[in-house]
Amino acid sequence: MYMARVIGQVEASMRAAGLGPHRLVVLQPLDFHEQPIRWTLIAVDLVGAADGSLVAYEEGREAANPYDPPLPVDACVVALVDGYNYQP
Amino acid sequence: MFTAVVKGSLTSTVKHASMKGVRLMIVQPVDPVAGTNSGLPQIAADVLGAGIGTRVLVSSDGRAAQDMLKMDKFSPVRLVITALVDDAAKMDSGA
Repeated sequence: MYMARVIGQVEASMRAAGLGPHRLVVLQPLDFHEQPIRWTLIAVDLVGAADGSLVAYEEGREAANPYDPPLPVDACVVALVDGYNYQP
Repeated sequence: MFTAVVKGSLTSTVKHASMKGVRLMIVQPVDPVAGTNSGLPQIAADVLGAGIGTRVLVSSDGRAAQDMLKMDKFSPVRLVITALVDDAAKMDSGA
């Protein structure tokens, strides 16, 4: 699980049936100095993350777990970050 | 699995139901023997009470996470702290 900032949303009316109506957000992964790391990615928004909010997202097959039937996704926003305490 | 050092914690009230009551720790992957940083800091679920500064074993498999956190198959959690490491040494090749 990485931390990220929601920097946008994807509008996609023609989409795989399995994707359903779920909101697709654009994420910029961040380290714990809130500097960009890795690469921007798209994730399905499970918790209703507003644009600009700090979230935690999970990747891999587990990202599809919360949905029944599982969605064809490999990244999912799983938590809104209230705060963090980082002592490098 | 990889070894890591716990560097902090993260609080979240709005999250997937399966993560309720689960501590979220910031873990810095480190080389098991050399102890040097070996990856980007990530967030792992913790039920063992790993404090900041402790060396831990982190599994990146959802199955382990679900077993440890006694969650159903709907949990998205993948990274979980599965052990607190006492020591990790390389076999000396001369033996």
